[in-house]
Amino acid sequence: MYFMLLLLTGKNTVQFMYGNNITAPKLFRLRVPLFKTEDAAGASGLGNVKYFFPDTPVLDKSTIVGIEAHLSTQSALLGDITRYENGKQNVTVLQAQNIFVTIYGEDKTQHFASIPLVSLFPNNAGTNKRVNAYFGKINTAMSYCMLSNPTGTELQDKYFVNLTFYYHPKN
Amino acid sequence: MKPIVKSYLAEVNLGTGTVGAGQNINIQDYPQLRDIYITGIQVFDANQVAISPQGKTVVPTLTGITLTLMDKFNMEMIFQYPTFDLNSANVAGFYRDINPFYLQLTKSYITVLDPTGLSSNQSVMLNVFYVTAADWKKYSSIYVRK
Repeated sequence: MYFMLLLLTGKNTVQFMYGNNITAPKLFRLRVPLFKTEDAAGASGLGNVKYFFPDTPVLDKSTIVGIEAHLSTQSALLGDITRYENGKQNVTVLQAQNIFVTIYGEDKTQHFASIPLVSLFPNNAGTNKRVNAYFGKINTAMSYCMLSNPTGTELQDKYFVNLTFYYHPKN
Repeated sequence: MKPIVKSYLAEVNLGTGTVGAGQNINIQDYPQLRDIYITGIQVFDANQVAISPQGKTVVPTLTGITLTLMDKFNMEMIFQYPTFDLNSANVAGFYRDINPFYLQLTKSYITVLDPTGLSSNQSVMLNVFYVTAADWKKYSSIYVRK
């Protein structure tokens, strides 16, 4: 583990290890818009609609060691972030059931294909927080959130997906 | 929970016919999941995924479904493990690490023990964590027991 991390990050990361897990010196919350400027309303139709991550140089070629989603409360499904942020809505736990996240690596190949967004949301938020340890250097420009088979009703307002990346910055 | 180097969401469809008790359903071929060492797995039901990327509804319950994973020597490395326990939502958010082995996906299968609550054309979603055989030397030290 130590040698592999040294290889990937070029620095001694033993100090960041805790059991099986790797601690992260930095966290970055990324808001991915689930709309395009040309959309008048929510997308609809068969198939899947991709919404690419905003260009995020701080994460490019960084070594991520975990990804966590933040979702809003809807009915009895409790979330961990406010529904409205600067007047724009965040995705709720229910809406997240139709959303998948695909992340590319710095080698421009898919490293994490179609991760269900809900699976990145810590179970029983606040009590049993588990951050999935997705690991590697990523390419944000090629990564995207995917809305599965939208009907046009789920996300008619313009929503954002919230993802926190736990990462080691590049040297 | 070991680091996840790569992951791929695979889908096992129950088929268009009536789902029967004791039925085995093989996992289809995914080019991305050839020549890999499996390092962990998650399974999802309709509480996590409403519609699969292929447009299928997802099974509402996992209690009647087990998973068998074969290695390249046709050995059943994981035999009829209840998929309910592979759903992180049921085990306090943990995902299962697997002592890595060379997976033969197309001979791996799910078994429907009890079709109650299941309907035809529904899918079981498997999030497979893996390292490609080509990258195995680079990453294998992560998975060594210490």
